[in-house]
Amino acid sequence: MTEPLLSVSNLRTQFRTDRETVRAVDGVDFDVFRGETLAIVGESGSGKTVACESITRLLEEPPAELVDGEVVFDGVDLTTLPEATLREIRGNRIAHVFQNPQRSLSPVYTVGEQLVEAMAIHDVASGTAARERAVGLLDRVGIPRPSVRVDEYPHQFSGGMRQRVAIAIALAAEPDLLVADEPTTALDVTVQAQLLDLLTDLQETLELAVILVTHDFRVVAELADRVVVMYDGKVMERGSVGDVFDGPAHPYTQALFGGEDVADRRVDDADDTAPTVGCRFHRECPHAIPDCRRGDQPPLRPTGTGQRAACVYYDESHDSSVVRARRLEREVTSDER
Amino acid sequence: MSGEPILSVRDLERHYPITRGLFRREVGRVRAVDGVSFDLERGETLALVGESGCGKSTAARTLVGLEDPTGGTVRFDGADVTTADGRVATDFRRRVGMVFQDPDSSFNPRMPVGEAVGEPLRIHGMRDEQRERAIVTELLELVGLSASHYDRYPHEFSGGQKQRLALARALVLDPEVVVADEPVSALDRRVQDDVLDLMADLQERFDLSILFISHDVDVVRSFCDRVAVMYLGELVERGPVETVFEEPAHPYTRALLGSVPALDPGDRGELVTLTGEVGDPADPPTGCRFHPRCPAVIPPPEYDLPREEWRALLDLRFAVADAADADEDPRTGDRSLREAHGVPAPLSDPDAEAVLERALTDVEDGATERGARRLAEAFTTVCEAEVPPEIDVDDRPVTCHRHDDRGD
Ligand code: SF4
Ligand code: SF4
Repeated sequence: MTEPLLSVSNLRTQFRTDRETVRAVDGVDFDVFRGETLAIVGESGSGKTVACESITRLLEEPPAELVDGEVVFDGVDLTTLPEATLREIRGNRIAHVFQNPQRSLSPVYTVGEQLVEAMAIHDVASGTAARERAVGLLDRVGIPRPSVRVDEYPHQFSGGMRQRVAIAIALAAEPDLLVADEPTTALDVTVQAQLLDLLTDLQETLELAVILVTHDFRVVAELADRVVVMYDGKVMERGSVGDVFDGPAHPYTQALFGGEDVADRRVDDADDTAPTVGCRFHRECPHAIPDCRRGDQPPLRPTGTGQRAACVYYDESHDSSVVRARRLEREVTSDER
Repeated sequence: MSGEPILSVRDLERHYPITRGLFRREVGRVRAVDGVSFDLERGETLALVGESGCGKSTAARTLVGLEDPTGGTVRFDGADVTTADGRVATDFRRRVGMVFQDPDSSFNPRMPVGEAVGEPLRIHGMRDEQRERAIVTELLELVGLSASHYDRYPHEFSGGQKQRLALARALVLDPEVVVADEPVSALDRRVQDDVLDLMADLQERFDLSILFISHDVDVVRSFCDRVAVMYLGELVERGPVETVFEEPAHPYTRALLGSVPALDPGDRGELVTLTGEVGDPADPPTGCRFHPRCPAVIPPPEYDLPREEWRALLDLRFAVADAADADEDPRTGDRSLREAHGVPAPLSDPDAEAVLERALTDVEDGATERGARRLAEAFTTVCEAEVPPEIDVDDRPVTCHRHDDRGD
């Protein structure tokens, strides 16, 4: 296989406050290849956003702190780069789109000015050529009457249109990697459908690599090639979309897909944080055994069905059919319906 | 489910005046809720589903009296409560509990949650502190918390727990109806499931009828009995959840359901995508309010055009009209008007093609207005000209010309 465009290994990011240190990302590995979409899935607090913002160091440091790991992008370890060099890569080669498009838009400049600026910073185009390209980009992302709207301000656009503008700005510098963090979560479903269509189209025609951060398996099913499932700063499962959807291997992934028995034990208590010893999921897991409460999170092991899962049941000394059995049940019940 | 509905809403209207100048002269109205009718039967869960800005939350707030209706009636348990005051109003407020999306809106950060849950009791005249505490404690346990939570403050609770507290507060006066406005939308999926399970338990225990406001098709499918679908201030279809979701009769319902991605990577690329954006409630489209976007919009009898072609042609027509109004050139970027709207060249109906060509030549010549007129005269639709009546489709009221004799 070819070299990955981005290779993240053993990434650890923590937040330090007076009272405590939160290990938001606690040893995470994943690769992204050119032209593919990798989805990072998890609930709030899983560390999915922090992991992505650690790539180009978007986090405010302190309180955030990158304590360990490598982030190799196109052969260069970004964690060792000075801020100035990193800034060039950010936006230029790795662009971000956020849940809230305002985060990448300025209220005081027209969208045209912002697009032109993005192109100028990254030496893509300038002058009339830049303006023409700005109109072309707006047209490309589906803004009607782009030659008029190019002179309007972000607040004159609807939420969905504003997200399209943010995507246009992200693409202005022709990046290799687009990091899209819950890009459609704040939008209505019909607007989301339009945006998902646009992202699919852009990704195919521009051969972009995309990291899609989301909580929504439906969005994953629509866009992603591969999936990383995160819980409490750890990767629980990793594999191709087909393998993970065919039979989620990790009990946590199964819970996200709607396992009944897990819901009863769900830890939903503000003062009850996940354990730091053993499998992070053991308090909620319906299959937990004493082994799950010892040592560290089990490593990602092959499951025999294509993907990898961080669960004790996939080592040699346990019988993985215990957690697998549920998969079969699930398939049967969904067929019956 | 028998007898009279517990809540009966007829032609409910909530308009906001748009005023201008020193004397606040009314120059227009935002028709947030524009003639909405439905019944909430005893013991059922009815969903009001739609996208942001469709008026569903305003409808809920108006019918419980948090906002004044500008028209229509609300009957509760047989009595007209639309503009009720005095005892009738107090009684109505006691018998209808409300839960909102953001629990922080109903909790004062400096008040212990037990006191907050008991607040409605005090507002309604309870003076016996011990009894209040006993009632609240029992409720806390019923919603899955405990007596030990009574003296804690809101920030000590997770989002799901706060929504449990909000439910306790909504139930403290022992209401018959709960109006829940996006009660689980801010929560993670698994917490949503827990809170919905709890609501189902409470519904049974307290014999509640629930009006459930939501934008989330999955949540409505799993939790509600019947559904009313709202678009731009109006209901477009109502009926049992299974029927409406399995065989949607209104094109908007179909689009809403079809725009939810399948939970199967094998089915990708099948999303229904609408063109354009939701209209402006201050200036809603004429006829059927969905006609500027409807994939099923009805063509005039004189042309023989496939659905997609007709939709694309109308999109082009509206774009040229907008440009003419704004005195702009409708052509943008380097794509032709046809390309920009996905209108095939040539159209499959030669007569339609002839009209289109002439109009495009007009635009080419800078006579955008003439082109716009030409298109508007030829490419008409009943969906734009006439407000669709409400028609029963298998006992489901649907407002769409496709189901009256004007369609097909
Ligand atoms: S390691 Fe144990 S607790 Fe963790 S998912 Fe596997 S069975 Fe459950
Ligand atoms: S009346 Fe016409 S525009 Fe409205 S929903 Fe029916 S077919 Fe579509």
